This record gives sequence, structure tokens and C-alpha cells, in this order.
Amino acid sequence: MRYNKLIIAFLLLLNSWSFSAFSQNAATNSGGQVNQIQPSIIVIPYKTEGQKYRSLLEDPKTGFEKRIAISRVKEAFSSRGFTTYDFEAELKKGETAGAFSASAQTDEKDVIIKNSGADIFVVVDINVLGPPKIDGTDVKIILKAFESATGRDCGSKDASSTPFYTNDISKLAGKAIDIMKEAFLNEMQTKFTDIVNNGRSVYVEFVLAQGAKLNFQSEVGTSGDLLSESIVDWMGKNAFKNYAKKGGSTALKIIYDDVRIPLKDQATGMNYEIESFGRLIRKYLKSINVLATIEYPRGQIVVTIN
Amino acid sequence: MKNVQKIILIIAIVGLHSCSPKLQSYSAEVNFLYKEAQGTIAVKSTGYGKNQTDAVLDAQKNAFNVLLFKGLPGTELNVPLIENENEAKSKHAAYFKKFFDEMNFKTFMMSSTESSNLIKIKGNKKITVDVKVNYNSLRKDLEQNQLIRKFGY
Repeated sequence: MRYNKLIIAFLLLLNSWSFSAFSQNAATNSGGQVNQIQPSIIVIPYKTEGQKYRSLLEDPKTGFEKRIAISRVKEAFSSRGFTTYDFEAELKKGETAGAFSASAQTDEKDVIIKNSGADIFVVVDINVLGPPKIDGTDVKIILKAFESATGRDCGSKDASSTPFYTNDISKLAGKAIDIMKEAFLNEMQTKFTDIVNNGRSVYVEFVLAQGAKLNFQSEVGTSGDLLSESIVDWMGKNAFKNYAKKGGSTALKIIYDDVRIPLKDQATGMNYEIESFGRLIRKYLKSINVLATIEYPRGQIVVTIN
Repeated sequence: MKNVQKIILIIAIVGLHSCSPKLQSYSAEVNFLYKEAQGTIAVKSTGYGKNQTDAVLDAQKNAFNVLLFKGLPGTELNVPLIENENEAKSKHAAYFKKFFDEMNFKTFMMSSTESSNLIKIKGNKKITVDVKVNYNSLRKDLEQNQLIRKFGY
């Protein structure tokens, strides 16, 4: 009898240990309250291929216009209680880290977006027209927002200040942005609502490692399905609301350019990270005896089949 | 006995019907007038009622109804502040009771000026009112009361 009691006590102790190992730490326990992780946004100036941001921002003629335009767009986000990443700080960080060295082949825009970790980037294009082309000064601004991971459009608007007899570019830029900012933010919010309802979009790529023992035409598991067929079935079944849009595939690659994953874990209500979906993919592949490594470059999932 | 069952059934049906959210119809005769300062909008709204007071109140409520649930094309509020009218009204009935019935909407109304005389129409009276709305603070109120999400997810 006493022996049984000891066993029960031991089991209870073991249970409490296993629960505490995965439960929230007392110091950070929020009592089950979960705050939705918000998308991070960076506002960057428009540039053509090969142009350097530093010279764009410090150009004695047009640099001020670009800085003003960025600042006004940031203000628009702040007016809705949203803080954006600071472009100049990110640029400085990249410069300090030597990410823009002459030998680096990647474009500065890609480096900044990648290093900042921003989910969404907003490109501001400003054009100032003045005499002799027109009477007065007219500032035209185009705003475009994209998802970093998939390049999907998140909103686009343009507006003009209309010509005024003034050289105050700041005022005119502010006027142009004021005209469109609400409509632009509303359009972005509509896209966010779609994400809340239908999940966020993730790019997923399956590639074969060099010297991999399997290819996508190899039979896997016990059902006689090919690896490519198993992947297609699994993705269709496990994407949020079964939305997994195949982008294309070759003998060496299967691409899904739009797979939806939920913002919140549908079982626990916790924030759902891209890595959680990657983990599911890896575990599934393991269950059919396919070993894979997974990487998450800039909000994407790249699965390498070994 | 059968009669008792019938009565119970009728009461249940009436009860269930009264539980369902009612969507009061409102006029869409609301047109953009001007925008003076950021976060405000002035609209010309038409209202109907038995007398001037009722008609003015109806016009004011119509203005808010359109901004909240329909949006005004060609303005900053081209999309409605609240995406799903039915869902919002059934989920947040208390908020809308306070907003419309207890006149809470007036706390977001910066001005209201009658811009036409009271016109007699079939069994009713009609008036046009210029209503200026502080939609920035209205949006904040909707966010705080969780009728809409803040900017973001």
C-alpha cells in the first residue's frame, strides 16, 4: 500500500515537472493573454537599379525631398499608432557592417530589407516639377507597399500636391501625402484583414541537395506515392484553409509561391510562426523516411531534401 | 394539450425572432462636402421625420451610418470604418445602442447646420443637414471598443 502511494507521488512529481518544463515561466506569465505579433514595416525611397541610397539621400538638389517624403509617410503610419523601422538607421547599420561593399553583388534594397527583417516595405517615389516646365511647383508622390517574403502587393496610391507658387517642398510633399494617406493605409488595412481571415502568405520551396539519394520521382512511404505527390497532398491538406498555390516545379525543385499559414495557432491561440509550419513539414518528411533540412530566409521556407 | 404545444411553439418562434439582430434601414443620401483638417470630414446628409427635430436627428444618424457601414467614394473614407455591418451590430449591440439611441454619436460631431428648409413630403418631412465629423476620434473609439482592429493584424 505504502509502495503504491510512493509510486503515485513519484508520478505526480514527474507530471508536474513535465508540465512546468513547457509552461510559461512565472516571471513572464501573462495569464494566457496573447498579443498578436504585428508586421514590421520599413519606408524606403525609390531608386533605380544600381543607384546608391546614401548618394540619393545626400544629393544636394533632391536629397532633402526624399528625406521629407520618407518622414511624411512615417508620420502617416504614426498617426495610426504604428511605428516603422527607421530607414536611415538601417542604412547606417548596413554600412557599418560592410554589407554594401563594392564587391557585394546584391542590390542595396535587398540587403536593407533582409537585414531589417521588415515584413513589409513601402517604397516612396517623389517627383518635383517646377519652372520652366510648369508655373509654380508641383510635388507628385507614389506609394507602393509590398510583402518582403513574397513580393505581393499590399497597396499602391499616388497623388499630386497640385501646383503652388512656393518652394516649400516639405509643405507640398505633406499635402500630396495627406491627400492619399488615409486611402493608402485603408488599402493596406484591407490586405491585413485578408491576412487575419485567410492567413499570411509564405513562399515554400523544396529543393534537392547535391548528391541527394532521392529525387521528386522517387517512391516514398508505404502507399507507393512519389515524393512530389506526397508533398502536393500534404501541402494541400495542411495549409491554412487548404490554400497552397503551386508556382511551378522542375525535376530539381517544387515551388509554392503562396501558401497560407494562420497568424494564430488554431489549437492554442498562441502566435503561429513560420518556423512552426516548417517544423510540420520536416516532421512529415521524416515520417515518410525523407530527411530534410529547413532554412527560413526572409520569411520563406526552403526545404532541402538530403 | 395540443393548443398548449402550439402556444409554446409560437412563443419560441417570436422569442427567437426578437433575438435576431435587426438592421434598421437608413438613407444613403449622404454626400461629401469638404475636408477642412486632417481627420475630419463634412457631409451633406438628408433626414426624414415627423417634425424638424426628428428629421435633423435622422440626417445626423444617416451621416454616421454611411461613414461607419458604407464609406463615401472619392473621399478618405472610401471604405467603411466597419467592415461587416451585420456582424458588428450583432456582436456589439450595446455599443450601437449607446451610440445611436443614447446619442453618443454627438461626441464625434463637430458641427451640424441645417442647409435646407423643412420640406413636406408624403406623410413625412425632409431636411438636409451639413454634418462635420471627427472621424479620427471615431475610429479610435471603435478601436478601443474592439469593433475594429488597430492598424495591422
